[in-house]
Amino acid sequence: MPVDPAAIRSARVATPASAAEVAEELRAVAATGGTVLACGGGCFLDCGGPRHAPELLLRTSGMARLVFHEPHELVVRVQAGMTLAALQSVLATAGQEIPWDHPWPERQTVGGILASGLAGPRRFSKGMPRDHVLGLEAVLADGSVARPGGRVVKNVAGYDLTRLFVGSAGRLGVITEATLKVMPLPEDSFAATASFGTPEAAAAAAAAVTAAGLFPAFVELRGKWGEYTVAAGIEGFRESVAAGRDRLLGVLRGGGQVSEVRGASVRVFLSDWTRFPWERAGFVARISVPRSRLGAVLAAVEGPLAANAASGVIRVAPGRNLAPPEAADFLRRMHALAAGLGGWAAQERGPLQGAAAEPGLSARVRALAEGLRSAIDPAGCLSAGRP
Amino acid sequence: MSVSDSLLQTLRGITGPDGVLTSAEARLAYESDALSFAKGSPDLIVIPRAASEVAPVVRALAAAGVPFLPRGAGTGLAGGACADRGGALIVLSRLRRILELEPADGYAVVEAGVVNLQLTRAAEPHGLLFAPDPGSQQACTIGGNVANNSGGPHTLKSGVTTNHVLGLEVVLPDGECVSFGGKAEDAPGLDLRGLFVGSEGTLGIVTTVTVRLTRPWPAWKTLLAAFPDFGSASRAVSAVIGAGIVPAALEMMDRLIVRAVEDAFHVGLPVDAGAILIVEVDGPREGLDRVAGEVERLCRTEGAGEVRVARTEAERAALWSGRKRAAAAVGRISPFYCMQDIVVPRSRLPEMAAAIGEIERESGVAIANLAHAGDGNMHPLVLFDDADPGQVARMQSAVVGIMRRAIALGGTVTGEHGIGLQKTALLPEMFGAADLDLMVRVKELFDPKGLANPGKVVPTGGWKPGAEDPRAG
Repeated sequence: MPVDPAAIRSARVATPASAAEVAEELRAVAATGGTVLACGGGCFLDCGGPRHAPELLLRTSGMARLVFHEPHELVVRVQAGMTLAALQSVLATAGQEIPWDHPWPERQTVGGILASGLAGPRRFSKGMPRDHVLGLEAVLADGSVARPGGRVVKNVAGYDLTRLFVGSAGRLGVITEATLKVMPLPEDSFAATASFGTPEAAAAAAAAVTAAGLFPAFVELRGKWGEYTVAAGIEGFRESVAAGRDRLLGVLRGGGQVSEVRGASVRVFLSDWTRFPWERAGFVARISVPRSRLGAVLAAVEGPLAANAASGVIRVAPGRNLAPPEAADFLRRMHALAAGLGGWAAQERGPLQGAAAEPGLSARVRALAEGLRSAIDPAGCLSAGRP
Repeated sequence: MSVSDSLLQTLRGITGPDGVLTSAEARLAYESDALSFAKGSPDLIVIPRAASEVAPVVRALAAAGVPFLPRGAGTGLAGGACADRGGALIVLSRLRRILELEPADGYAVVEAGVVNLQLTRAAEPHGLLFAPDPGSQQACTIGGNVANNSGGPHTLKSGVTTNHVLGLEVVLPDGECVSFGGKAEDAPGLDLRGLFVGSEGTLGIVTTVTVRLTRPWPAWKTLLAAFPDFGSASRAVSAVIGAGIVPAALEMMDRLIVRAVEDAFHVGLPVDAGAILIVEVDGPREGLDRVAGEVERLCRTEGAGEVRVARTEAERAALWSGRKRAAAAVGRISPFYCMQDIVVPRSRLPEMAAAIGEIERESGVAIANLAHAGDGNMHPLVLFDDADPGQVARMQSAVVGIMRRAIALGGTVTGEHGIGLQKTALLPEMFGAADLDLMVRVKELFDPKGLANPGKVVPTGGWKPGAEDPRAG
């Protein structure tokens, strides 16, 4: 469930309008040794481990401005508090979009998506948020303003610090602006779903769509206990979508209850689809394997799950509010399963901290990441909300 | 730098007797990469036979306090593999095994010395390829692509190396081996994989790379359009992209390049054109003809006289042959050239071209222009005679002028070749103190002793903490 930002306990709330104002707030907090939590729409606020009540809750809703959109450059720059829906409507005026299909686009912010690093179904064909970021503005714990990256589509000047910020759950800095690579809207889109009774049949159908030469935009799978749905989509030229529709339906014919969506409704379908597992409370494990091993994971896990099938990423929500030891045990078992298949498991949301949340990381890699965090935020001002 | 006999003995014990070279001839052979006028001899050259030998080699060098840098095929155009401060050059060209290639999963695991084209050739029978295809793809290595975050003519649509790397096995500067990412997606933790790509051997040495393989679209259309000048060709580029068409490639050559290519290879390019654009669109079969027709119409609207459309694979190869041999052709008209790698927002290409024209007139050295125009990525080739110190100085001032102009237009000094030796001093003109300070902290964390490719990428002098951010406000 999205967290209601108004319900987060904190000594103080600030709604800055710019990086300079964020910097002022952070400097003030640094002087007292307090902690800060930045928050957009609260949709993915539970990613990256548990939150403690911060001294300062920094809401990004005051930073929702379009900085520039240059359609001929395929580039847009926005403040981090702009919602995904607002961004898409700006881009749509020029026939463009960002291929993000996250849940609750009216609440979801650009900054929240980048801080979580989470990708939607079209990651398979269009890449992940980290692939779409050209440059960032982020305020560091000491109040200095970093502007890694740039505004051109190719840039290898210096270390690629943008990647570090994307997916860092706010631990390295508060993202205040982002320059993004955008794309033309597809001329047409088509999606179909089909239901299957066994995990094997569903995984086989997903693999068949991926391998059929259809160039799918996405191939998704979700379900629980004997009820699985595969959703797949194609997009592009209107002629190719018309031709691909019949072929996709042909591949999915083996399933029951085939249904279809066409055109602009596909995006609405996707943002509804991606609400699982976010609409549920509690612990979510993310299991990643080479995609041909999807069936092996499905056969071994219990509980509701949702998979970016073509990318081999499976989210499992065991369904109860697991206590940390139970969640850790579940995650260890999932990691052992995934590691045997060439992948790993990690906590996407839940009560675990540190190594227990990321059992696949070696001690040295963890030490490097921790070293980066403490080099950038020595007092742990931004991390303290997430120990 | 003196290299002790005991270190050499230790290294030979790891790599075998022929894996360590110290002769004057060998040191001369490895004194530069493809930035050939920048020279610096390594004190020794180490050529491991297996990925597993890299870590003990680095451990031995680190213990002895000898700096080291990796080298793949030496095709880098920024001097990143030039041992300008001496030390050990670790040559990875023997590590050329493709360890795994999994068509159903769409990935391959390769050693760092695998040649870019070798990987694509191995993937082709499965209907796959490795998308980054730098101009040097017949020689350059995957490890080198990772070190420089290399691109190529197809990056507008398919991205650069970082977008195609799933995992890395890396030897850190103290000799410990770690993995960043792997064969699956969404590796937990900070994206250290993404940080490492493009770090030019300054954070450690990549030994094994897991890459994503791409299924190419089944159909393509290739057009060559001749424009009266660079500006009209640039406007056509913007018009195509503004129309919602993202071509697989949009390559531009100016008059000097076209004439050089024609004089050298007689491929039939229209020599009276001021600029030539090669546009390749790919996609599903259904609808592609309509889109290609739209590209042709837009080119004509922006002033293209002649437009040629390839109908067969042979005709497509013919249209590309001039572009692919452009650098070689320029090598025939000038004793030396220095290729730059600037990027500007693509609508600023005409301004950048005009600025280069001014710089050419002021400096008195000829400049030929190639561009991945869809990306706004220009490769000005500054022509000079390396035997003439006056020309070398004028070339160097022209190069700095070009890079400064690219920064002023909102661009970057390097799009795909790397910082290397030449551009470190310009980073403070692109980034503020907070960014430079972050880069230094990253370097110090990974390489506290400063042994890994010292002096490259991270500015170690010439900037002052607390200096004003040139991009603020």
